[in-house]
Amino acid sequence: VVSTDTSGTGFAIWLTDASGEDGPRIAGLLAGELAGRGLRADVVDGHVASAASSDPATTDETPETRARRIAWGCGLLARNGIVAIAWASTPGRDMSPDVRSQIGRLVEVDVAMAGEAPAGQESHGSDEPVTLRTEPGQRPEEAVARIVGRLEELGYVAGRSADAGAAYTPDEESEVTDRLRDLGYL
Amino acid sequence: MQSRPRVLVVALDGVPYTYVQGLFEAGEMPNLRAIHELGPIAQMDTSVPNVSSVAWASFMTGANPGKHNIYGFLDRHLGTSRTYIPTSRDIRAPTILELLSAAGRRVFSMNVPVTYPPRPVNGTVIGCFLSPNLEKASPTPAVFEVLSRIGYQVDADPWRARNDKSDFVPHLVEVFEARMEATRHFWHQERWDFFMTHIMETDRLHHFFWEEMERGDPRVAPAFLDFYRRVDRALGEIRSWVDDETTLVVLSDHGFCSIRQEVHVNSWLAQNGYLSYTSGEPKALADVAPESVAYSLDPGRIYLNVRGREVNGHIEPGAEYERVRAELADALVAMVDPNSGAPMVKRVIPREKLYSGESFESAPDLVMDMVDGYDAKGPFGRAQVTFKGDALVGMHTTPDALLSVSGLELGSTRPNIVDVAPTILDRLGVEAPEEMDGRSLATAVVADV
Repeated sequence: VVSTDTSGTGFAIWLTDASGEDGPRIAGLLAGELAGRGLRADVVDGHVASAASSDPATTDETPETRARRIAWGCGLLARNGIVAIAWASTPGRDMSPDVRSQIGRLVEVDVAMAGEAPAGQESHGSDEPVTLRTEPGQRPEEAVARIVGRLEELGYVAGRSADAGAAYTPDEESEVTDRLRDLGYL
Repeated sequence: MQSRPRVLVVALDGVPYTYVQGLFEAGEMPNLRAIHELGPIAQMDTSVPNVSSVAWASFMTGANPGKHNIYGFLDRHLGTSRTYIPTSRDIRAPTILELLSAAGRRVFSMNVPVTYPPRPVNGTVIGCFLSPNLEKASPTPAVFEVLSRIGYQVDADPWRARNDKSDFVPHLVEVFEARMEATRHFWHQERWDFFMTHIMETDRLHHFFWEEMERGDPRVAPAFLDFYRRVDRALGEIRSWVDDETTLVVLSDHGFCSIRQEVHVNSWLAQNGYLSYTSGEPKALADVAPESVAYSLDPGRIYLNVRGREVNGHIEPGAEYERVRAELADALVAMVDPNSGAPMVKRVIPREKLYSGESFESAPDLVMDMVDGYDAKGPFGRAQVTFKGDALVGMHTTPDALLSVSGLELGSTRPNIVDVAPTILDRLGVEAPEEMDGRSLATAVVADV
């Protein structure tokens, strides 16, 4: 495989601890939201990874093997400028370091979310994965809004106002903000 | 050819019911009085908060902000410190324009707040004053060309009032007359079942001149009244267009009063230990320190720093949240004018008393209902809690909007702005969704009888 990523926009989002329908629903919504912002985004599930991988799935594969296979697919897409979105029912802490390193730019999203974030997990240095969290009981739409908001803040995706499809360009937003301020609405 | 019912809506932003009653008693506004005879004008309750974006989103959806998701002119992305200006894209409930379009009715709407960016409808939507420019307010190049030729402006320039008030009324007249010219043009050109034109200039007049009008300032009061007479002539012209098949609806979205003091709620929160900053010169939500208990957005929306919802939230949902919120509500309601000792807050309302729906999560935890004259503001980092300037002199009030629906004796009915959309749908024979909070006033009047 030859990496053709010259844009640097590719990365992977891994939804961990995503039980039941949460994983695929959030992944699908997230892909749509990111695509709406002009990014190439795709969901990597077990079937996709199996079809693409040189290490096809078997019925008795372990979670670790499955994770490694999906990670391989995510890494491939991310290196080629695509936002790869995957999910797993296992907690993020169970993901081994070499699976993480297979992916490269990685944002882990703890869907189940319990307890405080361990110190340092919000770090986003070039070699460290970023860990975000959603709230228990959050609707998938709310979880997606929250995830995308943090991705904006961390610089993984452009703000809404910078998108061609957004309501405002930054200059326009600034102009309308000034108008609202002059009217005493802010 | 068989005709079918149509509805024409004229929105007079910020025109108070009580002020109009006073004008009637003074023998003014003959055309609005004639409209009153077609459909008696009732005093109407509006949204909380009572700013135009929330009120008109409530009008368009017939629903509370917990359903339509517009809580003010500024909001924040949950879980972040990023703020944004809510637009039509953030409205989560179907609007009357979309409901009518889906029912095969043709719609025209011009300048109704929170219709920017224009959403696809069966008809034409010209965006509101939240449009950054005329081109982006226009749904098509052809509409842009027409509006440009007319000299249409998305809004009066409020900076002109802040810079030199003497120049502002003529500017308002210019903007208003162009809006009327556009209304005439599209009235004659468009094919429609629902036609709505929105006059924003009354609100702008009030913001910058209400106090001078109230005290009869000879430099302002005559021009203020002249502006109303101009609006009344336009209403007379519009009324002359209406045929037997057309229901004429005239409404406003809130009342007005003079500002005694602007109240910088975040300054009060900071002075009382509820809010701190990471910056010596805080300007935005991003400058709020993690240990803060609460912050405020305009007008009087209070957000607690709740864990899991705010970016650095630490207040646990449940018992801690309830305890802190109750304590803060008690403190807020006790706020007094530092200059006079007068109470500034009528009541502080918990969000579950006001809102319900899928966007409840975004709602402020508390909303301050201010005493008339005390205008709650949302900037960060102001030194003083209260401020009285000479530019902005008028503020919104909640219970004093107005509504007239031709052919409908509202009588003792006390409408709410969420009732207008189901009433219009009723007139046009389109079923209102069950999710709407409002009810058709035609039904309500029959029930009252």
